[in-house]
Amino acid sequence: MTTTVADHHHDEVPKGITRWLFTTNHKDIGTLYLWFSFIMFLVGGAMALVIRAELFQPGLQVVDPHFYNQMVTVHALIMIFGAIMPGFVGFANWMIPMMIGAPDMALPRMNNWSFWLLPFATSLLILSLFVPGGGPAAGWTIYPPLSVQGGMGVDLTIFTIHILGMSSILGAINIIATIMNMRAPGMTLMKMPLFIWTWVITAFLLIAAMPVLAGAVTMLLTDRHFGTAFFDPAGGGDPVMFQHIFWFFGHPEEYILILPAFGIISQVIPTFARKPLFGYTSMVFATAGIAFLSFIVWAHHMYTVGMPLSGELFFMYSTMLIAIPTGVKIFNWMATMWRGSMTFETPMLYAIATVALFTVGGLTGLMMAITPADFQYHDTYFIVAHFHYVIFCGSVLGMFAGVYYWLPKWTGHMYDETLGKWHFWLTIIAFNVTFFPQHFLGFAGMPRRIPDYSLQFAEFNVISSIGGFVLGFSQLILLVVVIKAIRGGKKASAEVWENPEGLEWTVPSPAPYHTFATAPEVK
Amino acid sequence: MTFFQTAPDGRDFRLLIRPDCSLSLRGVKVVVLTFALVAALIGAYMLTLGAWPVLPFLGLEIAVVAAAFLILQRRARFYDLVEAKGDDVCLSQRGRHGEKSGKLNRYWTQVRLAAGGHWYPSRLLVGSHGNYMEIGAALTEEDRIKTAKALQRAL
Repeated sequence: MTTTVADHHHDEVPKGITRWLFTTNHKDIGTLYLWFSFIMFLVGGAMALVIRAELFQPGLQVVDPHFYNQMVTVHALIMIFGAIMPGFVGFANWMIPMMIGAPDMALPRMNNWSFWLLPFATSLLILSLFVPGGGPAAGWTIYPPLSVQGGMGVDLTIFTIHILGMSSILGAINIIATIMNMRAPGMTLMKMPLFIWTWVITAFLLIAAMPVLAGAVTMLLTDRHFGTAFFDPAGGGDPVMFQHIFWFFGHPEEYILILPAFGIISQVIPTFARKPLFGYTSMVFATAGIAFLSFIVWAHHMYTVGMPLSGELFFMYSTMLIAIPTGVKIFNWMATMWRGSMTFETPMLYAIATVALFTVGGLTGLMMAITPADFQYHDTYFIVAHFHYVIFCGSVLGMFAGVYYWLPKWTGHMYDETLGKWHFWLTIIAFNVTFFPQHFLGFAGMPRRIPDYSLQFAEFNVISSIGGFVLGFSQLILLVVVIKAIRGGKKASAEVWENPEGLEWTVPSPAPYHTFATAPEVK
Repeated sequence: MTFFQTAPDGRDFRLLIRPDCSLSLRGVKVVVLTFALVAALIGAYMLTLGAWPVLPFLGLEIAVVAAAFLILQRRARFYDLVEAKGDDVCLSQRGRHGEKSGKLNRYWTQVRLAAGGHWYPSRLLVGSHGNYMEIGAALTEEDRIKTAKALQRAL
């Protein structure tokens, strides 16, 4: 018998640009998603600084009102579709195969395509700022009739949304297929880590909600160019229909942005509390409950359009119901920490901040759920404060917790804990300085999406702008932390932390290019 | 996923390679029908609003979901089987192009791992006298290398 085995190194990683262009490896694609997300976070953040610079004082100082509106719109679109969603898909790509004991994602070529759609889509969106008439200026909700009247930038935005939606759907299908099909022997559904559960449910929401957005923007496009009148009352259409359709997508989208962060902190808190997660089963059902309720509450975003009283009441009560599963989750995280042997490394600090500050956003959400009260808050800075507490403190802080938690597994080196803590404290303090005063601005009646304001709002806006600049520049510390960890530092062990739960901690740090040669047995 | 069994004498062996698949066909039906049902409900609501352009997107998406799971189910039925009994090595395979089988003389059997160029994965080839059959295409690179070495040792 003759045997020839060609010379081949086990963990040989393809080099050069082709590695990144043609890769089908889940870790490479996860890395691409995470870097893309961070770059978009900085781009969207720079737009936020333009907004805060303009609002630093009353009057028009920095940009003209039309450009200000473009900044408000594109900041939101970039942060939602370019930074947060791809960031979580990056986590999914890196961690899901490792956490379920699979060698890779179920459909690796589709995975590559899902990622490479993103840079083209966001380039179109940024390009829209430079075409005649400028970029979209109707807010991220692109409500007609304003969006129907916009320039060519709106068309580019519509195409951007189509491509981003396609990327999200393909990514979601891949994630569902991977989790359903490629679990290691013994990894039953109720043994899956909570991060996996939250991603199954998020992917389900994406698959259900994204076609609705695609249909809505297609109708906008045909109204703009093909003579239809879906949203034009002159032709028998109704602009309020767009709001219904948009928020039918938009509210599940909010949970698409938050649920993976819930999954991440459900991994982080037990590790640093040195206790198993309290109430695992109730966490799974609470997540599913939130997902279900997200489809029947959409009109709480549009109480003021003139709905029948029964409709207002239905959406008020169904919205308030969301507090129950969310409360279950918050209770379980606190019960996990209760009498735990806690230490406060950076991931744990971020996880605790996520729980605490997301709760602030959740409580202001409850205030807005009450229909008559919302008539006062609607379209004021109170809303801006609320959704930043929810999205930044829920999604972004949760993501930071995940980055610090898994960075040693990704790079093979421990991160700089001192810099991590600087990043944490500056972010938390600056965030609250920026957004807490906006509650008062909203109460006092300052409307959102305006470049100029009454003199009575000046003091809180100064405070908010100072906080905004500190918050923005603090994020460069994260860049330094990540680059330092990639370049070197203390070697990370396979476990990294003290007895963490999960299959990802059974592989060496950094995780090998191909993770599980033979599927691990889950007891 | 590889299943490697050796006889007590340590000479005969059976190597079965299958792609990962933790979801049964029934499970696939349940998942796809659930998505289809939700899409139908959403589509019905959109129709009542007059927002019919949402429907093609919903339909297209459910078709992609179904296609993805069907591809995986089809892939789950693929296998590569290498059985060594006495002086014979039997190869059988079910793949994208149907079923194939062959018999080799153990003493002439070669195991070759052809290194992939650029970003292409390697290919694990088993055969003799210039006729080879590729096995382990569903494995990851590392798994394929380990399988090649295990096969080399067993032969």
